Amino acid sequence: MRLPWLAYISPRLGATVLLPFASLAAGCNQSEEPLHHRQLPKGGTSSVVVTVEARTPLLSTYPCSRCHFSPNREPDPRERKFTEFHTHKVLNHGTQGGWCYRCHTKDDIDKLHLQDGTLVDFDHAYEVCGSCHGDKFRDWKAGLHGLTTGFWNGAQVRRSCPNCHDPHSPAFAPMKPERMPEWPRTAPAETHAMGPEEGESEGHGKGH
Amino acid sequence: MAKDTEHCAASSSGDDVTHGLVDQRVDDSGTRRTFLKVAAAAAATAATEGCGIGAPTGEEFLRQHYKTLTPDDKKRIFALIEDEVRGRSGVTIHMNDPAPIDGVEFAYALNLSVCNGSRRCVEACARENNLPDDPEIRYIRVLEMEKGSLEFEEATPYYDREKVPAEGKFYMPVQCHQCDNPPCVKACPVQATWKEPDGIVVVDYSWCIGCRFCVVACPYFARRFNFVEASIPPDRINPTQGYLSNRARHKGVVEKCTFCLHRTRTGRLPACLEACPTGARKFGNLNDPNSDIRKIIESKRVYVLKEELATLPRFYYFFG
Repeated sequence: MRLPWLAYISPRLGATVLLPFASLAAGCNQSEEPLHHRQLPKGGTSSVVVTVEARTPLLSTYPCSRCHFSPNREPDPRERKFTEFHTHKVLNHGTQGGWCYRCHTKDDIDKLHLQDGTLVDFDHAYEVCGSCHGDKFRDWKAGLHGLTTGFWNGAQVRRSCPNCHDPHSPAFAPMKPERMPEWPRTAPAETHAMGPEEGESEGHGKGH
Repeated sequence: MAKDTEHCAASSSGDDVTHGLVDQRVDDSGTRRTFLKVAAAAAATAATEGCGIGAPTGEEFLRQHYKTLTPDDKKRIFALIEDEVRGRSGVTIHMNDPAPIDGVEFAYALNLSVCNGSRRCVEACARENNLPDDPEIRYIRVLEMEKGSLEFEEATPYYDREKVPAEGKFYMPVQCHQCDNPPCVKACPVQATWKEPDGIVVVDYSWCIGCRFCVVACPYFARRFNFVEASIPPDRINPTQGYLSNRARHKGVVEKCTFCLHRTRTGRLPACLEACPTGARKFGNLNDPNSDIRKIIESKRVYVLKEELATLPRFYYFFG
C-alpha cells in the first residue's frame, strides 16, 4: 500500500520527527490488513485514579434525620404527593414497590439501601442505582458512561449518578443550547471588509 | 507595532510573498526560504514604519519551519510572541510547546445516545483555543439529525431552540477527526501541516501560506481559515498557549482542532470533554488497554464518519 503523503515530506524536515511513525504505518500497510481495520496496540500502562464526586455536600436537606427523627411515627408507604416539604421534587421514578422506601431506609433515614437490603450512605448512591440499572452501572464503573473530568492518565473525578440524573425523575432534563453558529458571510456592502472576496482581492496587493 | 488603519507596505509585501510561493514551491519547497529572504527584508523595513495590528512581523516571515527549530530558537520565538501579545493586549501569556508523549496515541469517542446538542463543547472550545467571535470561528459543529437516519443532507448545525434535545432529533458534533490518512496533510503544498506521532494533525501557523487546499481537502469540514485579523477581548484570552495549538493566529492562515494538545500532552482532558454536561465525550490513550477509549472501542459498536474515504479517523462515534 503506498503512502502518498510521504512524498510530501522532505527528508530534511521530516526525517527525525516523522520517520519512526512512518515506518510503523508502512509496516501496518504492507500486510494484507484492510485499511479500516486498525490493529489495537498491546501494552501500555495506566495510572488512573478515579474519585467519585461526593454526594452529601450537594444535599441541602442532609442529614435527613434532622427532620425525620420521630421513631414512634410510622412511615407512610402509600402514594405520596409532596405538599409541604420537598415540593420541588417530582416523583417520576420507582413508583412501584414502596415509594420513598424503595431506596430510602425506613429505620435509618440517613441511609439508602440496595435491593437486597444492604445499607449504603448517600455518597455511594450509585450502588443503589446500579442494583437495578446493571448495564449502565457496568459502563459507568468502566468509565464509559457519565462525565469524568481531570487527567486522562492521572487523577479523575467521576460524577455519581444522582449528580446528573435527579433520582426522583431521572431523565436528563432538556436545556437551553448555546447560541446558534453564525451563517457564513457573503460580503454584502456593509460587511465588505469581512468578506472572503475582499480577503482574496487584497491578496494581490494591487492598489495599496 | 504602531497602529495604523491604512494597509502598509508590509502587508502587501507579505501577500505578494504568499502568491509567489504557490508557483515557486513546484520546483522545491526550499525556494520559499530564498524567496522570503528577499521579500522579508522589505517587509521588515516596512514593519518599522508602522502597520496594522497583529500583522506578521519581519521575524515571523523569516521564521523557520517548526520542525527545524532548535530549543534555543523556540525559547527566543516564545519570548517574542509573549512580548508581542503583552504589547498588543496587555495580557501576559505563557507560551509552551509540549512534545508528544512516548507510546501515547490519542483517540476520541462520542456517545451519540446521550449527546443533547447543548453546544457547551463548542463554547468551551472557543474559550480554550482563543477563537474569535467576530467573525465567528468554531472548531466543533453540532449537527442536528433526524432520528433513525444518518442523512447529512437533512442535518443542520443552524438550529436555534429554547430547549434541546428536540423531539425526533439527535445531535452529532463534528470536529477534526485527526485522521491517520489525512487528506488535508496531502493537500498542503508547503508541508505546513502534518501528523504528529501521537496522532494529532497540527498546523505551523507561521509556515502556512493560506492557500486553503487543506480546507477543501478535508471531508469533515474541520479546518477554518482566518479571513480577517482575529480580535479577542483581553479578558477572554486563554493565557496558556501552545505553539502548535491555541496561540494567536494571523489573518490568512488555517487553523483546526488539535485535541487541545497544550492540555492533553500535559495529561489533562480536552476542554470540550470537560464542558459536556452529559458526559458524551471520551478521550484517552489508544495504547493503554485500560483506558476509557480502549474499552469503548473494544466493547461498543463504534463507527467512524465517512469510513469509505479511508481517512482512518481517530474520532469514533457510538450509541451506548
